[in-house]
Amino acid sequence: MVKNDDPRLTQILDMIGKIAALEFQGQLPTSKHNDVVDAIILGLNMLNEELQANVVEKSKLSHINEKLEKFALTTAHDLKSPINSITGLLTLLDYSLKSGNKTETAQYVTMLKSTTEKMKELVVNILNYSRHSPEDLNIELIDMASTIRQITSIDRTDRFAHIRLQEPLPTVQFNPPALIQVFRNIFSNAIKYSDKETCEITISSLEKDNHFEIRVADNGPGIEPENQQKIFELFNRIGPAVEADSHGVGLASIKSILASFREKIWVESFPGNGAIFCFTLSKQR
Amino acid sequence: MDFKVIEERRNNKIIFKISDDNILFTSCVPNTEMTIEDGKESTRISAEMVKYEPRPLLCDLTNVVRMTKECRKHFAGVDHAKTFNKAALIVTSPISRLIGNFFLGLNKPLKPTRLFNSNEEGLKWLREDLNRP
Repeated sequence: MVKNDDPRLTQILDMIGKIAALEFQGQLPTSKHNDVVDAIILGLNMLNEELQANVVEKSKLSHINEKLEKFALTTAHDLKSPINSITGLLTLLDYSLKSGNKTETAQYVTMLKSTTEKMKELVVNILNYSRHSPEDLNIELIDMASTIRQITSIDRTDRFAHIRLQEPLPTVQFNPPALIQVFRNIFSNAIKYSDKETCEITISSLEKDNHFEIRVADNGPGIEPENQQKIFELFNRIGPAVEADSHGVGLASIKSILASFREKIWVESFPGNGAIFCFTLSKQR
Repeated sequence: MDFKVIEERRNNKIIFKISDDNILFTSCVPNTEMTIEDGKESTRISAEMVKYEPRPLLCDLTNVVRMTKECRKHFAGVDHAKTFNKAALIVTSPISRLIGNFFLGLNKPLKPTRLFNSNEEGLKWLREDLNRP
């Protein structure tokens, strides 16, 4: 027989209140009676556990939705640049065809081929990145110096910047398309905001206990201390970003990529003296 | 209970008996708390006893006072369904009835599973298919 003054009843009422407030801490103890009240307590404990699991699942889904939204924006952002190049090259090709300049026509066709190749590779990389969750992404040993040379050769970065590698650079365990996306975004950012005749980019690394710190320094205008966190936020349009027609997606996307692998990115800068974009890459993965 | 035991095994929590018509009967010692490890061990022993051919299971939950979420999930899943083709759960105490209802309602076991108040009722249901021509 259950009595109204059974202390377990008060505990049950308290727990129902907590569950209603979505507070899923702890479990109520059961007695050795194995009676109806113990059955109710056990039921509440089990419901508490199931509800908590559902709430956690819902929160994960919401996080995935946010990531998908960000991904769509990043994709559009990354595809815009080669499409702009193609549009410009088609206009030039049109002029050269009308004027009958075969040398220029051949030159523009070659450039168009190269740009569409670049775009194709970008799409492949994006597909590669989107196909799996970060947990499932293929991790490979990557020779960082040769990866950077590959990026600068495909993107023809030498037309816009002087890129210097402070070797030796490490061999790291990471997903190749993701690392390419990180470097590509940092380089294009440095070039976009450069205020010097020649944009200088220097890549170096520091070996720490558990990770490498990769440092990409430029000779641009630098970033004000109050904006050094904000530049990694989605849709930031701070200072020079407005003039540079930036959508504030590039740095947010690389922060998101690195965060997916539990890596960090930050910027060190004194305005007028360039900026150093630093990110970590763990030694063990 | 009309159940002719041809083999019996036991561990620290569960007693396993198999009948001459290949029904596995499991029951627990008083105040048994089932964890995922217990669940997997139980499936391993059961699979050996049914010689890896899916057979009916008569499971008396009366003495079970707790079963973890992971353990319920295991009993509802593929490995258990490979060992048993249907299960009758005997629930004669408030706690075992609650565990049985959670199992059916939340875990939705892959194999046909029902709750019964007595071994006899459970056995009768399990033998329906066995006696079918």
